[in-house]
Amino acid sequence: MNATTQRPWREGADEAQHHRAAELISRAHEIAPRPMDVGAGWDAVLKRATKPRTSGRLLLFAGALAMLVGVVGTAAVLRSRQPLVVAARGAQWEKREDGAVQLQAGRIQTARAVSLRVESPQVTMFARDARFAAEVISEGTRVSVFEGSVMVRSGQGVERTLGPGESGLWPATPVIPEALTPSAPSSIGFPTASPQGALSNCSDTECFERSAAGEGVEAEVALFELARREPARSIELWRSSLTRFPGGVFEPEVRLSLLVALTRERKFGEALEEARRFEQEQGEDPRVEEVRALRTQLEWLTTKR
Amino acid sequence: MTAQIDVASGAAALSLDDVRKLYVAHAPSLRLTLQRLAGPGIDADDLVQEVFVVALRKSGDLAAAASPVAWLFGVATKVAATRRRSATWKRWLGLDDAKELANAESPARTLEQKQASAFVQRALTPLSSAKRDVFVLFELQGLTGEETAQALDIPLKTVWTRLFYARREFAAEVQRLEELEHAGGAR
Repeated sequence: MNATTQRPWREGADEAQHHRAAELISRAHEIAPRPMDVGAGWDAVLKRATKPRTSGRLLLFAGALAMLVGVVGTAAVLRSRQPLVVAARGAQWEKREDGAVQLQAGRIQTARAVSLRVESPQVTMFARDARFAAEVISEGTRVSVFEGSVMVRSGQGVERTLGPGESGLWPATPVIPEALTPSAPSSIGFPTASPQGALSNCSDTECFERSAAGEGVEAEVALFELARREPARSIELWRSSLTRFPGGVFEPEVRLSLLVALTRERKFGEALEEARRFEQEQGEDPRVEEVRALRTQLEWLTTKR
Repeated sequence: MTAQIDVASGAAALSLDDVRKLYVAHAPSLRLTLQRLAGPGIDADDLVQEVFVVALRKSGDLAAAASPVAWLFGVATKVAATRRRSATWKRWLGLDDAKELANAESPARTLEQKQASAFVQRALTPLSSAKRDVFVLFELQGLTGEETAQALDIPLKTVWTRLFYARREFAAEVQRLEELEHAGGAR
């Protein structure tokens, strides 16, 4: 059939190589086709041709699309049935008519990313597509963000935005003036290092315990030092000092230490009382201005919004 | 039955009987060519049916073709290419059904012809579709250059260019396969 137009087969550089290839082609070309049952074959063609024309690709695409719609729809339904807020046992909260959540106590967490307003006694949280938790504890409101962002507005309109993985506690710990954080008693003139006193030989807690159980200035100093060495008991020990040694030589130092400890422990109400008392009773103290500054912070922290 | 078949697409359209005659005359050789084009493991009977279903539905185009045979082989190359692609996907997805398929070659072929055919099939594998189509239609099916150009809807010069490179690659592959066989036999 192609005799008139066929180009020479052996036109390459390697004649032997092309000769072998041409030989193989010639052998394969000689092979006759296998005979067919053309009657049955033609019937099969007609049968296929009369079938409605459907595209396999179209069917596949339609199937995949239907599956996708099903999956997305099911996910949407499940998502809509999921509760918006999950509360821990004992939590006191309610959803108000305006859509905001009022949290009084305990912990709540959003089940998925939502835009929601949550109010606690200390702060208002504005969540934007966020999954987060809010917990009202004795120290205030703790907010933890898992995804999205939550803007937290505390009293006086102070705002802070938390991102994924961040958490915060409101009200924030106030800034304690440096002058109110006493250094070692000896450095501010306490007679603890007095060579005549029994305390000069004290190097451990037991020694200060024994000395604090005694009487007089030495016991007062020992109790103060003991409170400094035992942070877990410091508030209790300083209160004990004020009770045991009213008007004592170290009362201003003890009151300041107690004020700082209460503030750090986020016992802002008690700290505020202590600050006010200091201002009244120790008005001549050179650190009264710093106490006033701290008291101002404590007042707005304890002010209800 | 014919009402649903688009055989009357125009005055020049072939009748059902015309298409049937083409089927009787060319189905066996088309089946053999389809087997060579699509490669092993492809149901050539199924592909032949597909080619003639297209012929029935586009009988107007078939009637207008300068060479109906070239037109049929042109459809065959497209059908084979589509099947090759889907077979690749099936193999990739592990959906390949390894059914026993009848060889489209005559059972009366000699051992030498059988071996040559199998070798040719292996040597065709690395060729690109474009070169393989030209090579198979021209060298194995025996279509003229013009018919090959018409079947593949490409210029005649392109046929010669592709044929030139196809022959060179085919010859190199034959030599490589034979060297491999000799090396295997020597061990």
